Order: sequence, then C-alpha cells, then structure tokens
Amino acid sequence: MENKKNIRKELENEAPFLSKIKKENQFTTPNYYFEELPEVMSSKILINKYLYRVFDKLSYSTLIPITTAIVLFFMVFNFNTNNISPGLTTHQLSELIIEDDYLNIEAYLVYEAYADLLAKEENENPINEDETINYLLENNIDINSIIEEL
Amino acid sequence: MVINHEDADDVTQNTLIKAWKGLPKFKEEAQLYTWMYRIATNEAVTFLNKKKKMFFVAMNDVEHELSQSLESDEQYSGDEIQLTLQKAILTLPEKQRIVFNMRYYDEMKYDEISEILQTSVGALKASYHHAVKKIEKYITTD
Repeated sequence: MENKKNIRKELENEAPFLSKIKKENQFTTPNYYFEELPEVMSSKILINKYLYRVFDKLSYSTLIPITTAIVLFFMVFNFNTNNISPGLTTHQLSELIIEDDYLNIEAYLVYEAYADLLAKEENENPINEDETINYLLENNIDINSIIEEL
Repeated sequence: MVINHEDADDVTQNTLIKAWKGLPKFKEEAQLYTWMYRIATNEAVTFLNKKKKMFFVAMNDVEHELSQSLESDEQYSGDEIQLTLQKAILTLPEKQRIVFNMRYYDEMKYDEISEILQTSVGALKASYHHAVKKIEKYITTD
C-alpha cells in the first residue's frame, strides 16, 4: 500500500527539481463562493426540474405529430408557390433575348409571347380590302391567277 | 484542468447537477468520493472537447489559450515558478495531465486513480513517469 511519503519519494527520484517546488494550490475562488454555491445549485436544480417537466408534458406523442404536420405544411406551401410561374410580356421577352438569357426561358413562354405579338399586330393592322386591291394593281398582280390558286 | 475560474465554476455546477441526478442510481460499489471525482473528471474533459469543437481550434491551440488565460486570471495567485509549472502541465496530453494532477497535487494512490479513470495501474505508472520527465525538462530548460 502506498502512502504520501512514498509518493513524495517517488517524485524526488524521478524529478528532483520538480520535487523541490512548493506544492500548493494557486487557484483561488471569489469571496463567499462556497457559501453561495448551495443556493446557486438549488435554483439551478429547480429550473432543470421545471424544464424536464415541461418537456415531459409535450411528450413524443404530441411533439412528433405536430412537427410532422408543420413540416408537411411548409413543403406543400413551398411546392405550390414554386409552381406558379408568371407569363412573359413581349417587352420582357425582348429584354431577355438582348441579355442572352433566352436559353433560360421556357419554350412555351416564347410561343405565347410570339402569339400575343402576332395577335397584337393583327389587331393593330386589320386587313384593309382597298389597300389589298391597290397593292395588287400597283404590282401588276393578276387577280385571276390568285383566284385559280385559291 | 480548465484553468479559468468561470469555466471551472461551470464544470463544478455541471458536476454537482449530474451527481444530484445520479444519486438514486449510486450503488455504493465505489466510494462516493471516487464516484464524484470521476464525474468531475469527465465533465472537465467534455468541457474542453466542446470548447475545441466550438471554436474549431486544435487541441494545442486550446492549451495555448488556457496558458494565456492563466496569466490574466484574477483568481490565480501563483508566483513565476508556479506559473511556469502550470504552463508545463498544459503541454501534456489531456489524460496525462489528469493523471499528473491527481498524483502530484492530490497525492492519490495508483489504485484510486485506476478506479476513477478506469485505466490499469501499469498504464498510469507509465503515464505519470512520462509526465514528470516532460515537466522536469520544461522547467529546467525554461
């Protein structure tokens, strides 16, 4: 069995310089630290107990379904929001093409914009019968040949 | 082990809370002192590991930080040689530091240390022997 005398002798043999250094605790505590410690610990234990009780009430049978429902809700909400993609106006389409971003445009949006453009042009420029006839006459286009083609 | 008073206070409180919670399960297979000492040691090691992970620092940087903290700590009252000794102890690996502190400061027997750290007496003797040599070299070189 070891005793403290043997422990000190062991140190003297292994580290003579170290054994000569005064062995004392240089770490101090603030005034009244140990006097206040029981009170500090009591309040900490009470807080711990309270938190444990609260968590126990919201036990697994309640927390997991609630958490799952919240997660599902956010997933559905996020999915729906992402599915709504706004259409492009002709102006926006031209801007994108200019900025070389056209590769990122969905094909159907381009078709829709072009269709809108054509419809607009048709509305802005409705076919005028008189103008058509004048055009044909000025360019010596034979009306009969057109009828035959039709 | 943690050097700084605030950290030591946190570790002490955590130790006492764990001991309080674990008291009903304490089977008196070991002495109460040994059991509490083991909790305190584990808490100190856990604290140091958390500190290392929290600040993404390597262990030797933690030691450097502790060494710096030691010099500026208001609760440290040692002289220059004591400060050098503490810095030397901080250069030891964690487990070796624990063994050294228990043997050198608390003058615990190897059997007691073995029960607390769950390590063989032979390994503890070797660890203490290396620790002492390293510290002796550090102090005499410095």
